[in-house]
Amino acid sequence: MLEVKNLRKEYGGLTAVKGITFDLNPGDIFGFIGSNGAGKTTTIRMISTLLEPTSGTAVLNGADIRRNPMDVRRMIGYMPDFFGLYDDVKVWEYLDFFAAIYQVPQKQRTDVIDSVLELTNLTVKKQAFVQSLSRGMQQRLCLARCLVHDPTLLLLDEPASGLDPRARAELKELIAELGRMGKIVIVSSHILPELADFCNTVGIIERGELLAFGPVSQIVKDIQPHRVFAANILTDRERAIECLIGQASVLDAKLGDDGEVRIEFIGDLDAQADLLAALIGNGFRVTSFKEDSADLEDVFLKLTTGAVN
Amino acid sequence: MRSNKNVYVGNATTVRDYRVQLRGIRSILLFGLYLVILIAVAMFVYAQTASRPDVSIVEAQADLRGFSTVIMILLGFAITLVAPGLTATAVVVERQRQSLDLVFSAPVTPKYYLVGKIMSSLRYTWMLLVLALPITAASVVLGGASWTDVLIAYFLLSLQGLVLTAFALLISTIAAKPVGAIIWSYAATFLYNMFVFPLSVSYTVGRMFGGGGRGNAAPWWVTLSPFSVLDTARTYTEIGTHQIPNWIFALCVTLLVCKICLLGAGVLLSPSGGKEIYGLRIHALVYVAVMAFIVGWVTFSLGTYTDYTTAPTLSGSPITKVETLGTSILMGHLFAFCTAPLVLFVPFIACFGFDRERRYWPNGVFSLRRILDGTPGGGLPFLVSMLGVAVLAWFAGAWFGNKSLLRWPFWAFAFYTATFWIFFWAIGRLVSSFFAGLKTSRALVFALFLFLVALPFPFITVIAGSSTDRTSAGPWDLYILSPLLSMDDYRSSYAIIFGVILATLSVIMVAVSEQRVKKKMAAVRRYDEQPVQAA
Repeated sequence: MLEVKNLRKEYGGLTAVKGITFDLNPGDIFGFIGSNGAGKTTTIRMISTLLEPTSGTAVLNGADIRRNPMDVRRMIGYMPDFFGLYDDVKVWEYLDFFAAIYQVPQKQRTDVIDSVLELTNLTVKKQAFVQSLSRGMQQRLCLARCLVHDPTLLLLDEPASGLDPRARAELKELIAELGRMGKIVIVSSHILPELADFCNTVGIIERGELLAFGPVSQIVKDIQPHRVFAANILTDRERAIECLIGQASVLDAKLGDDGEVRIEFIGDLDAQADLLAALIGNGFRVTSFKEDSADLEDVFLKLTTGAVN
Repeated sequence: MRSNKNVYVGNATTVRDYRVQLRGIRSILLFGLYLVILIAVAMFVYAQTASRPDVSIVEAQADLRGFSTVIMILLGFAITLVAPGLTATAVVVERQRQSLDLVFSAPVTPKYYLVGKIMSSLRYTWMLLVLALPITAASVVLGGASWTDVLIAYFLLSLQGLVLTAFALLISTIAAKPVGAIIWSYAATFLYNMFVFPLSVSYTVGRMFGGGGRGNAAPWWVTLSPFSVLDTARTYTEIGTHQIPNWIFALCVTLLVCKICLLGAGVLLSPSGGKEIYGLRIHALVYVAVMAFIVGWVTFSLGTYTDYTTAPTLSGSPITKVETLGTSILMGHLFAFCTAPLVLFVPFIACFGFDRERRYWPNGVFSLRRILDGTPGGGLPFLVSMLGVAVLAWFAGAWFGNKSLLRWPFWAFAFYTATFWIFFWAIGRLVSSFFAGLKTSRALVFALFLFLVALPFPFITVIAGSSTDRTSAGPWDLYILSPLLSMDDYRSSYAIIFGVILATLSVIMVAVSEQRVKKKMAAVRRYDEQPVQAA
């Protein structure tokens, strides 16, 4: 279990992270969302013990990042937003080096390397030089590096940046598989629809403050507690809005910038059918009537201002 | 114990570097070229020796000794060129490639990583020495040197390689770019050789002209130059009735230098740095004490300097008093000059920066509690402690060497030395309070040091001439190092006057900087309180 407690980081006149607190359990895939400079990477680097927090701490399975950084490092796999690959090194040598510094016993290293290569689908490239790999393969090699010591927590900073759609889909599947294996995965990304696909928890950060944290559905519900319908009505929209507000299942109705009428709705499916029937029955010419469900992007845009540190 | 074993045996960093170093045809070509040069020079020197007709056995022996010496000098050059060049990019390239973060997100200590880097560089250096073995063996076969000479010379070369590697590794950790690291590493190598080479050459030249009548007795520092390893291999230092081989002293000094360089590099690599800074500062205090004691002891016990002081200003005084006073002045001067390396450390101890993490922020002027944690508040107590430890150890060394107590002039110069460095510490505080950047402040303090110490020298020389033997006032009296410019006794009064002036200026600068710091900290806090506004 990972407990992040009031984690704070200051650089001179800048507070990069302002007391972030959250908990994650085994199997959680946590999507960390924020603009550039919001504090995602700083938070991840503090959890990975590469940066010392100004105050606060994080505890991973009882090991504190400030008091027992070496114990924490044994349990984490950190993948930054850059590759940091060595030149003139073969794929197996690269993994062997990291297995050695993670103190994987020498006798087990060959098996470990083979298994992580298989997991990341790089077995055929075992003898290749790392600089000869494609970007997607290098990304997977970095992930393989993070897995050589079977970590409890994976910190993936922008893992999908610069990848083509296929490589991205493969990586997504791989991360989901790691979650199923019981690892805690923290993924920071800008590509919000992607995160919504496989993250069961998300956190939105801006200017160092965690604005929202929880399951995607819960956050969406918090932002938009009622169902919203968008109706495209050809004529007499003002009167249609008056008609809609008079309905028992409608909380509010407004004309949107795009010309559609947005209806905040609290009824069930029958009430939904009745609402559409009432509109048509009153002579309004409805060309479309659909539910406007919010997604992670809407939540992000609604919560954040785009301000950066 | 086990973790220490892992550091030195099977170090992953060494293994990886070794694989890369020896990969491909490049290393074979380099080794081949090195051997060709070595053999060509050896053959050329031998041909010169063998082509001389009608030489006596003694001359032939001397020529063959010369042949061995040339080979060893060549190896010294190889070490001097390869060790810094190979190590200078070791850390800076990893930082640039951003692989350093990957390494330090694993359970790796700076010690493990740095020792691995040193071992991989040293192994390459040793390979050069091993490759040269057939040629050095030829010099043994030809009678120019014995196997013992060669083995000790190889050992000394390895030690020089270790020192230069440690310097280069520290510079590589500090440097921002590989080119800078290479240039500074070679500059450090050059300065090191400029310092140790004359010490060593004075001995070898002395022997060449029939000096050194006490067998192979020589000061231990003659073994520190990589260019005279064969001549100094068999030297020893006499302590009482014992003859201690100088290579033992060389080994101790090399390991100490290497350790302090590694600790310095470790401080820079560690994310928190607390443990490493603590270790570095404790080591620094211990080394300063040991070195001050040794220098105080050696210079006093040699007894040669007492002749220096015919002391014109004290003519008529009893000769014993003249000698004691003169020696004390000289010791004071020596003490002041021996603190010169502080020019590299004071900017790090004194400066603070608002652009960095909180541990670099100003946290008071004098905090004994912070003396070992590396924060700016502990800078002054640490500097004062270092100087205090050095003075006491020097005093103890002098007493141990000649059962003599240092007299008044020494204490005047010690006071001046302390205020001189505290003055530069105060400049560091003042500069830091004007600039936000830590690096800028450090660079400025270093530049100001050069401006105040080095720059006036040629100007005053032009105006007032270079003679330091003066009885009347002149422009030299305004120079910051004025108290050290001559051995006249009245200079001790200058030392006190300068000390008081420097101390007063330091207090003023600290007071101004504290005012500015308070304002800056208030601004920082105001910014920090601004809340985030959600849409």
